[in-house]
Amino acid sequence: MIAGPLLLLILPLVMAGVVYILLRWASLSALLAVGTALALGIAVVTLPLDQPVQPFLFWGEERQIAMGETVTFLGRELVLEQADRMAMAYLFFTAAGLFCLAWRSAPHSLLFPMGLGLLSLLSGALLIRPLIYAALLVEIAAALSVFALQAEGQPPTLGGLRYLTFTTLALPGVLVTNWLLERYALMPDEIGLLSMSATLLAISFALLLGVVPFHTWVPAVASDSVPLVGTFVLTVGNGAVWFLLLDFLETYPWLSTHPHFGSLFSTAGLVMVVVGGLLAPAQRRLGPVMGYGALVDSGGALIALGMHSRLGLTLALLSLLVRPFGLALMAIGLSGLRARSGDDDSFDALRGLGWKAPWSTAALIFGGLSVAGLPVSAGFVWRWALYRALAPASPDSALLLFLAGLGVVVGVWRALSVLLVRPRSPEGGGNPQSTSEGWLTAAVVAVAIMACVWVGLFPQILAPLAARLAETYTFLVP
Amino acid sequence: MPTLADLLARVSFLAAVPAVAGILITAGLLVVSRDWRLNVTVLILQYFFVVLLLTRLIRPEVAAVKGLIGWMICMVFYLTERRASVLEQASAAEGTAPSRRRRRWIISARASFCLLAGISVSVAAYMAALRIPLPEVPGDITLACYLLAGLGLLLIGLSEAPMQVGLGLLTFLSGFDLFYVALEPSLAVAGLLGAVSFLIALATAHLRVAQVTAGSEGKTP
Amino acid sequence: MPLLLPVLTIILPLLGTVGVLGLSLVPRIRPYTHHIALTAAGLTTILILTFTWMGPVTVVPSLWQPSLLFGAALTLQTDVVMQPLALVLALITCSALLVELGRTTEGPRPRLVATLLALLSVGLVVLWAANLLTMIISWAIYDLLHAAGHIAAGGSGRTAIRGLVFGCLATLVLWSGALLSNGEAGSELWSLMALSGTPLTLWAVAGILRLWVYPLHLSTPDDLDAAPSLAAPLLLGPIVGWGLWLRLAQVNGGSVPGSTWVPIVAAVTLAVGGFLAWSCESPRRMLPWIGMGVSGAVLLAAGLAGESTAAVIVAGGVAWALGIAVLFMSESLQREVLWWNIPPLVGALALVGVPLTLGFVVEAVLMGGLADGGSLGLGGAFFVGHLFLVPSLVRWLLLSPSSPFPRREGGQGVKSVARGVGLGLPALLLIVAGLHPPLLIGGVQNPSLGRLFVMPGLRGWLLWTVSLVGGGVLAWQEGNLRPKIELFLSAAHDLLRLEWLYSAVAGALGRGLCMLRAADEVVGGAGALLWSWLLFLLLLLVWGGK
Repeated sequence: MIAGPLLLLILPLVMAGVVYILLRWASLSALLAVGTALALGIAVVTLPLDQPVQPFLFWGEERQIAMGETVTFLGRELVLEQADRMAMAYLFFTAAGLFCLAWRSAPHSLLFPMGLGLLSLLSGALLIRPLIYAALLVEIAAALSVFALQAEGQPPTLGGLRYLTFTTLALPGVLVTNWLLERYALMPDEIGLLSMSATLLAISFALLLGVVPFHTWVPAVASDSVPLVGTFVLTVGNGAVWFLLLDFLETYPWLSTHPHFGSLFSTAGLVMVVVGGLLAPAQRRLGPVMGYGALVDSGGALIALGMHSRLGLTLALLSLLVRPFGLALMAIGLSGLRARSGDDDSFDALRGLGWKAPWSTAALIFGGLSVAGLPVSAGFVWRWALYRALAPASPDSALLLFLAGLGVVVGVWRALSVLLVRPRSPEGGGNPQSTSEGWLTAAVVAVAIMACVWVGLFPQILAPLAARLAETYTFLVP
Repeated sequence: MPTLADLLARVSFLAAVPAVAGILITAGLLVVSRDWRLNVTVLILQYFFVVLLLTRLIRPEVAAVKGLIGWMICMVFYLTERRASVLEQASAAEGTAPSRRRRRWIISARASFCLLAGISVSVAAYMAALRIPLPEVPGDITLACYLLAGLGLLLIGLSEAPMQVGLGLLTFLSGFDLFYVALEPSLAVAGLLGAVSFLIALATAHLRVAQVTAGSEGKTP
Repeated sequence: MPLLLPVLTIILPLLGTVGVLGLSLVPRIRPYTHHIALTAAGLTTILILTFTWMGPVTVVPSLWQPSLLFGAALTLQTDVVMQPLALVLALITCSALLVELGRTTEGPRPRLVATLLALLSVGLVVLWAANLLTMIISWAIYDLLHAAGHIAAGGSGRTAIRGLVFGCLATLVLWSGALLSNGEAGSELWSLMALSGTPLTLWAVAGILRLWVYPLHLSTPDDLDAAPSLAAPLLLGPIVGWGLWLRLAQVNGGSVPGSTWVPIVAAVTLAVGGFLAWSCESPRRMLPWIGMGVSGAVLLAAGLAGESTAAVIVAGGVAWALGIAVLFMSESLQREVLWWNIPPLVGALALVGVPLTLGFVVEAVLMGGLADGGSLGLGGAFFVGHLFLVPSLVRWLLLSPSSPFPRREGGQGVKSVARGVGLGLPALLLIVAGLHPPLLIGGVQNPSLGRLFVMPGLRGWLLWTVSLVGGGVLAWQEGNLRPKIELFLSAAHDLLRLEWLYSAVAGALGRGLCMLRAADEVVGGAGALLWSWLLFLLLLLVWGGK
């Protein structure tokens, strides 16, 4: 019998090796990567936890899969619980979507093998008990992601370096917290241990989530690396951190009952929103616009969590579910434009490129709308719900978030105004490497845009999932 | 043939204030120096002193394994930098890279600033060790932890070059490791922390190679 | 079946879009893509006509669940009040396609045609949006398609982006009004809403942004002078605004909100729009300014109308759209074939509000309102606006063709008939609805033709006549006057366009953003980690101090 957690850990690792060997055949490696991620996502959602199943009739009984079986690894337990299923499904399906887009945008990048490796590690981080080991696995994933973030033939990625740095700095806080909590279990009179634990956890997660002033890695990852890999870090990696945070809150309920819980999250989120909203329109490169847009979105999710209610948690989870649509579209737009501007995404280099790369421009527009939370896009549905929930209780927060979204979209408009400058002559301007995006790339981009718009028009595809996921967490009252 | 325990017993007199002093000097040199040969040598020594201090907290065998990981990291750095210097020399010979710097024995402004900053951080670490002693570890090891963490952070903050940042991260992690083994002596955690350190080294080596490759292709970092 | 009809009217143009794009890939079928588009647009027009005999139909295309999160669903409601605007959208799209079919020289433009069909579909959704959520989403889609169509028609990227920006701003202002109502307005149907205060004011501002009202007129598409006549629907952006004003009148108990400031803004728009049209150096770029002036007139009339506000908005919006579209699609007056001159003449007369045209409904109410209780300022703006509108229209009608190619007359036979129908239908509607307004405007209180003649009173008629005569004199002396004051006109035009002001504001914002970027480069550049920790320690000190 194959234990589910082992399957979720081992299979991506094995396939990572296979994909790495086959990397020179981009379509094959993409297919394998997408297939692996999709298969695991489907398995984690559909296979029952309480009984083993034989997924294929031709497999023998010894090849049954028991998803809910606990596995011991280095003396630590790996267990797939109900709350983890949808989290893992989010990771796998998002990764599958990004692999599919990378097939056209970054076909020979290390995203496929490293992405599968990261999926394995991040799955382990969500499955392992006790939680401190999750921090170590997240740190290892951050180190591995540097390889994927580094574009071939380019100067060293500042984004990868910063991401690794901030993740490393977050590690001690989480590890020491575990010791403090074990000590508290022995000495329950020492309330100071709880305060210290809460403080250390807050600082660690602030580093991991890019809360201001530890936010500089977010725009660096978005701007200074392979765009889709940056999106992978900001969605799958960041998503795993979010679920880890929720696991901490669920495991230690006293954290959510802390008197400063709501104000801390709200304040942190607000500061992120303000900083991102002010800096996004000020940029002269597209990459940082995307990064600050992601910062605003993260800040909004923190504000939602700071509402200290089941509704707020649902909204935060909904933001996680819709975030990949916007960031992925912006990433493929950025990739396509960079490919035609000599890897330079400054506004000067992008002048007039919109006419040569219309699909990349369209992807950038729709991605920017989604990240900014404007209609018609996936990002709009969660902002609509969030503003509706925030406006009666905290109109200032709603206004700041609203304006920050406007700031992000101003950054996109500025880029668009440069992209749509009509070239003076057919021979004028830069020396683009390619003037055609190909029908296959156009088709992939069109499907991605349609998916984003579809979710924006029919949020009932994703919103009930967020609500169901929120119900699995009990640390907040409804 | 002397056993590991015998070897460690011979140098055990160093596993106190001399090791802390050694850590201060090695970490300080890492902050100031930009010469890769000196940095690798100093890092080897730093790991030696860290291992000495670890022997007071955990079993010598585990400390030795941690030291081994550290020295493998130094090997990775050495091989990477050696390859990088060969590539840079080849670029210089083709005339595409900037000319090599002449060695100077006069301390530069940057080095002076780093030295001063290092001294400030060291003083701050000393004050922190006095005011905020770490649980479960003796006073001199507390000082060593603060020195490594502070100087490691300084090293990360002062540079964006991959190798310097990598050295800084490893220094920081060494300081944390020195403290954490006293709290959590689990072998699994020790192994994972070792894996983290090794991967950080590999990642920074990868970025260093990318830096050299991009530089030799005429692109500015 | 009744439930399906609204859905069908929206899906048909979309099917046409897909068909046009798909079939344009086959070279042999490519010349017939316009016929496919015309079929889709024509069927849509006919379907919309059938709604006249049906009651309101509510359709929910997407139920946003869980309702606790969203509080609303995408809802469409066809109602009698919106029918004329919907009909006009479809009719003008049909007419543009027919006129294009009547041309002999140029090949098919499948991308532009496909965009226009999609724009028609979304335009209908905008007009039938039953709640704010649906309106916000449909406005966003409309703006994107409008920008795409503008670019496909050969317009500049700059104007397309401006349209996108102002459209987005209007959408955001609309949304913010919904939020200020404590989220209630977002979920309520328009027909059930009863609000006042700040939300209504914000929605009025959104409506103003949509109507090219001065000084928020920067989205006026003044670069479609070289665009084909097929691009006529791209000038119909303000119909979206008229749809919102109708809803606002509904919510505000029958009158437009902002009764203290809206008439002033509208009057300024009328006066400035007229002057900008007349002072425009290139005659081919006058039309959007003419449209802006007439928008001001309609909004002013709606502000002074009282009970018949909705009727004024419907009549004014329809007359505006038909008049502008007909002028855009027609060539200048011809000496060779005189009956081709009828549609542009009728369009021009409707825009000025000559009796027996649909525009007269607006003009009569406006004259009556000014005569009864309007201020001197409003009357002065009316005079100035018409003083310049008339010679502008004359100038447009008499302008010589810019193309070096032979005049684009309708070809022989079917092409000629197509062009004739394309131009004739809008003109016919302007006349027929002008003779009997209730034929077009249903569901609201609207005055009879006789009442319209009596409404202005002697003072109103005098004011109108004097302004028309003045305009006529200006048109007559155009040739003598213009060369002498051309420099002054050009300077005044540039000054009043306010491009310099917006550029200055944008520049100032850019400078401010530069400072932010410099700070970001310091904090996020080399030494980012040290800056992060420094800021963190500062925050700790501040928080610890509290």
